Parts: sequence; structure tokens; C-alpha cells
Amino acid sequence: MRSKNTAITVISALAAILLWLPEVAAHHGWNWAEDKQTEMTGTITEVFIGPPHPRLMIETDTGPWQVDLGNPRQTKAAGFVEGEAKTGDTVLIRGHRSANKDEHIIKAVRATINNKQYTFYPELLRED
Amino acid sequence: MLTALLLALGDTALASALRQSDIAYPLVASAHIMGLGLLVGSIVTLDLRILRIIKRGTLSELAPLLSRVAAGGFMLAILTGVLLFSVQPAHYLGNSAFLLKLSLISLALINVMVVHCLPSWRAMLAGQPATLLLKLTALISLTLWLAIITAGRWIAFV
Repeated sequence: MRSKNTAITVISALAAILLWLPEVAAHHGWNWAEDKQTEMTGTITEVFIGPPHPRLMIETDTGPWQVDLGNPRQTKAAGFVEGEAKTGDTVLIRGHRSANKDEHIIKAVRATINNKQYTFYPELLRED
Repeated sequence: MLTALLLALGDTALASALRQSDIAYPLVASAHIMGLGLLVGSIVTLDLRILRIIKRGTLSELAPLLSRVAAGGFMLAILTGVLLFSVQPAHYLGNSAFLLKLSLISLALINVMVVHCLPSWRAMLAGQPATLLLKLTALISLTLWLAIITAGRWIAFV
């Protein structure tokens, strides 16, 4: 019985430590994307503003791309709300492309539509 | 017809409110996870008890209790799942992980119906040991529910 209690204590302690480790980035992190910040121009084919993740679908010279914007709160804070962009608008995206060349996803740091800039991650914006 | 109905969910006032509110979606998502916890927590416990990997407790007491908790969790998960789906129906209908998850859920429900119709389920509730057939359904149940959770999590990664 004593060794069983010891085991439970050790497992609980390990679990508690794990919970305090830095968060492991998944879909919403940046690990999957290139470190390099690049620009891309396209025509908007779909606008989705809402949870769990606002996004644009765009058509570019290199085919269709999915543009991940900030989370709903960040996207709203950037001023990008319903009505700001519509299908057919031209958009300039500054952000990080997926590190996987076959995956046409770019995580936007900033989007420029109709001469208006929406910066989702002001602290990450790098000017050339 | 069914597709049109599902797409129409996205045009409801409720779906619109979920898209616009800052807190509604995370709250509904939390309730969805709560439903999954109740469902899988109880069904895995019951399956493991039927398979005799867990040995404590009697099945005549545990089976009615755990299957009812699982049913409650399932209802909560379905209700909140429909709400989460309504935020962007077209997007989810085009998501292969989501479609796989729905197919697996229908298989799991068929398994539930089969189990509850089996004479050996009745016998087990009456205190008889679980038959080999019942153990097989428990193994199927375990596999399916774990696959459903995995497919569900995969929706965000396709």
C-alpha cells in the first residue's frame, strides 16, 4: 500500500511540473511556419471572421492560399471586422509561410486591403 | 436536402451570435469538452470492466450507471457540437476529418444499439459474467471512441 501511495505522489508531482512547462505550440503557434517574413498578393475568394480562427482564402499566381489571421480578439483589435473586405478585393499579405512547401498556408502578421493596413501582430512586424 | 439543412444552420441568429460574441464560442467549446470527458471517461471505464482489465465493482451495478453517464455526456456533446458546427457549416462539411468523425460516431451508435439488444447484455445486468461477444463489443467501443476523439482533434489540422 505504501509503495502505491508513493507512486501516486510521484505521478502527481510529475504532472504538476508538466503543467508549468512552457506551452507546446500546436496549430496556433508559429513553429510550423517559416522564420522568414515574406509578402504575397492575391485576390480574396472567401472571408471568414469568427471563431475558432478568422481566415481569408486567396487566389495568387502560385494558386490558392489560406491566410490565417490573428485569433478572433486579435483580429478585431487590428480593426478587421465584418465589411472591411469582400470577395474580389486585392490583398497584400505580410507574414510567415508554412515551412512545408506543399502546404499553401500563410500566417498573416499584417494585411493591406484597399490601402488600409490591418496589423494582427504589431510586435512581430518586421519592416525591410 | 440534408446538406441544405446543415448549411442553413449557419444562417441562424444563434450561429451569428456565436460568430460575433467574444465569449460564447469558448464557453460552448468548454461544454463540448465536458461532454466528451463524461462520455469517454465513463464508457472507457465500462469497457475496461467488461474486458476485466478493471476488476473491481460488479457489472450489474456499474453498467447501468456508467452507460447513463455516457449517454448524458453524449447528449451534451451533440448539443454543443451542433452549435460549434453552425459557426461555419460549409467549412466543416468540406473537412475530411470531420466527415470521418461523423461516420465513426454513427458506427459507435450502431454498436450501442447492438449491445443493448443482446441477450448477454441483459444477462450481464442480471449478474451473469460478460460473454465473449460482449467483450468483443467492448473492444469495438473502445477503439471507436478513441478514434472519434482523434478524428475530432484532427479537424483543426487538415
